[in-house]
Amino acid sequence: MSEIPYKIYLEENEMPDKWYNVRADMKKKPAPILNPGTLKPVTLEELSGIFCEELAKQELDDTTAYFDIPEDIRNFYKMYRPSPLVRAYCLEKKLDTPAHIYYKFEGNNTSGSHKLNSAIAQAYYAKKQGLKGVTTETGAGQWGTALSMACSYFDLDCQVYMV
Amino acid sequence: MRTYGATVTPSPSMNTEVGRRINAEFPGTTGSLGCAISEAVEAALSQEGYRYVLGSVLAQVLLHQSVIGLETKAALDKYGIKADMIIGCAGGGSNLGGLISPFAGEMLRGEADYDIIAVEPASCPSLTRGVYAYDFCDTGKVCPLAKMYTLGSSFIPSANHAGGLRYHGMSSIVSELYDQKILSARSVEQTSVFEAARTFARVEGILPAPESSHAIKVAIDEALKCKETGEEKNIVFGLTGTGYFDMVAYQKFNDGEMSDYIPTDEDLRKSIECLPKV
Repeated sequence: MSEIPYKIYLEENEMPDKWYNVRADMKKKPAPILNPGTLKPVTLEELSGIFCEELAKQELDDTTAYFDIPEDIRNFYKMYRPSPLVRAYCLEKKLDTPAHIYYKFEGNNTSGSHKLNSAIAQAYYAKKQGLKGVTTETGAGQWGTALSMACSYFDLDCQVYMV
Repeated sequence: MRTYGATVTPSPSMNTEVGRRINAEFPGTTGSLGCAISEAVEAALSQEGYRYVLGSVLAQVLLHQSVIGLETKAALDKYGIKADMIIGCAGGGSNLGGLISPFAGEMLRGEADYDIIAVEPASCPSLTRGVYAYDFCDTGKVCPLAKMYTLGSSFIPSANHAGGLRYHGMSSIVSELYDQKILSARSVEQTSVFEAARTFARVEGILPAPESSHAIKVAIDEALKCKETGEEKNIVFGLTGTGYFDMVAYQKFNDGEMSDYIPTDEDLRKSIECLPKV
């Protein structure tokens, strides 16, 4: 085996072109989400009142294993992906451990976190549906910042409620 | 956020009905994510051409975040590395779910075995001390009900909790995988999390986000166990982000003002009692 570098970078063309839906491989699926009024499983129509239609479809689909990542989203991902898998040689040395420690670092974008991966997807589908804007909540601000950036990329209004 | 053109409203606000109600019922409340979700949903429903979006918990978010796990797996495969442990922090489950999805998939298909560990704060311990039941995803009870490990939608972490991951519930996918024992869970106290963050920052040169530091804490614990046993385990953890949004938390830690508040069984009983009857 070749020596493992500090950072393993994939090439841009090695970036996944599909998302993986783990529910497809679960024999026992997560229980369906319920309409709070009727306590019956939520229908696509009901869910589309809250979420974009494509996202509502993704939410309810527990059998399709792979979803194509739309080209616009893949192009956006290239701004900050693939993210490095880092071999924590310095931490291993500090701990004096025989273990090999790796970490996937998702902090190299304006939101400082992995949150941009989903923000851009959700903004993309909102734009595709012709919406004016979206609302959301945020804690420390990573998600709110990710969504703000994604909305500005697709020229959507973004309203954030912050705890 | 405003630099990117967004408007930002502190929650609970007086802009929405649910915000006004929560402010009236709990004056001076520091709020919660569940409460802010209710406000955002109400705002979306009351404006033409708007929809609500959520950054965690949902199945669609875990789907998008699977890009993390897929890349991780591709990078490991490139160098012929077989992970023994995969560790991720868990709040609503978006990072953890995304990181572990391809690995959990291999386990579900019987192709490989991994030790997958979800790490959560001791002050908001939905997997380790919650119940697996249908609950509201938000305080205002407007979102669909999800079956998940939950502390009850009225649970609000104590005000001194600074480490992120403060959601009362957990992704229904992560919950079901936990219930099927595909993954295990641990809770850790926030001062130990910040100590791990400090150790990591000093040698790896990245200031980690407090939530990411939950995973660091357990990765370090496990690496130290390997030191005892001499095992050369491959430990992979998710470093979800940097800590520059959390300077107040770091300040508290460095000033020695951080404490650990672990909810009592009585605290949890109160919020779990309020679960909807389904």
